[in-house]
Amino acid sequence: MLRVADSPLSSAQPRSGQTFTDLLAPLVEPGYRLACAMLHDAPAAEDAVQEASLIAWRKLGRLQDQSRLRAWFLGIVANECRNARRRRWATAVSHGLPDTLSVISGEERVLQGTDLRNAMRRLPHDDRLVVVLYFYLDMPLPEVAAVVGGAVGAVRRRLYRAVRRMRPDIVIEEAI
Amino acid sequence: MSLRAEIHDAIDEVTPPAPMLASRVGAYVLAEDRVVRRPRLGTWMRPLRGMAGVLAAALVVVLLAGLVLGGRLWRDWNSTVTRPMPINHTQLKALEARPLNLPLIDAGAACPAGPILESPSGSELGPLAYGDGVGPVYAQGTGPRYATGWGTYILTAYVVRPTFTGLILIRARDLQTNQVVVFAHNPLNKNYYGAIPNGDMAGTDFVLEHKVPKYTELALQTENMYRDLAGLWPVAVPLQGFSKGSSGCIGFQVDGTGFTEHFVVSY
Repeated sequence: MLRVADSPLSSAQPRSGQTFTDLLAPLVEPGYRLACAMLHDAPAAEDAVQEASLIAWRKLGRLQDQSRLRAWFLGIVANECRNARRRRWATAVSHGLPDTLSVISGEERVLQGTDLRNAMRRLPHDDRLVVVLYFYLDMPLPEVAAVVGGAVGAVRRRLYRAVRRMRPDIVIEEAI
Repeated sequence: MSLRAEIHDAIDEVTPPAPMLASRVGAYVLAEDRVVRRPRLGTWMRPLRGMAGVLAAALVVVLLAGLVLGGRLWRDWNSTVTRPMPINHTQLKALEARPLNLPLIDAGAACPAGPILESPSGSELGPLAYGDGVGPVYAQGTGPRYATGWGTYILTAYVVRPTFTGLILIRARDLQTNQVVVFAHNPLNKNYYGAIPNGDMAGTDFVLEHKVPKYTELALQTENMYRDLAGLWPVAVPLQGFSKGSSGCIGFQVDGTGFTEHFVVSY
């Protein structure tokens, strides 16, 4: 298994398929799970991960701290998910695509499931992101903080607030 | 059940497995990452930045003068930029001469989509988990979509079976409206890598904030196409455009030396 700390990330690295396989390929699956959790729409999630991977690939040389690779990549995926939701809304409103060609929102289609998914859907993007990273990707709070770009304390408070919104009756300490 | 377990269950229900995603993303990333990067200014060059504007303005004047005086040269250069890859025109003409055999269907009729080759293990189709077509060319139009005032563009992956080499011609029509499907380069990818929009120019459009010319055909040159991660399957990822009013039921005819292939995709 690749140890990220050993990976050469200098801008002079050869941009080969092997480099992709070593560095980014292992992150595609967690990125896809994050995108699915954020978008609740598998095709849109694949698109988001694909675009995020291209962005990450092009900016790979700028990443100074190699140990942050996973958090950095997931941050890009999260940003692409935010953009995907914006684009989808703007496209549907402004262009009036024909039905057979429009980007059908799987979100509305799929998100008629459990109360929990509905509750997550109602969370603001940043709140949903910390919930997904912490509860679904099982990331520790410091790494969640690295992805969202905040302090651990602030992330913990955001997590408490998000859980309270999803489940007003839950005992927070047991949940977290 | 803990909240964590509940969240896992809830999200897993909307997260189908995607075992070939990393491979497909890898092929896409490596194919797209061909934009020439401008080298960064070294520290020693930074004092020269102030002069850069003056130099750029002077360069613009020289270029404009050159364009005015060298109209013919400009046209030649422009055509070179539009289609920089050498192409065997005799062979292309022969493929274009083959009649287009795509049936029209009634408006509202069921779209006869297919055939599709599934390859869950990934061994059959190289970088793709499935592909439209019967081979040697397969398509997968599941890339990002871009809407414009004219219609919709889909970034579409084409792969060619490694045993085939040579020129390939792709033409497509809406089977209900008979509208021509257009092809264009992904404007963020400055290198063409063997996928060359060809045929009649069908105007221009703005896609991804770039002006792109649209063509009625797509030529693939396997020798110049990018290869998948395994280095075997030629891959190209051009844009396909459908005008507003398209039914989304699209028939494709793929011609190459020794074969003609048809498939229908319902977008």
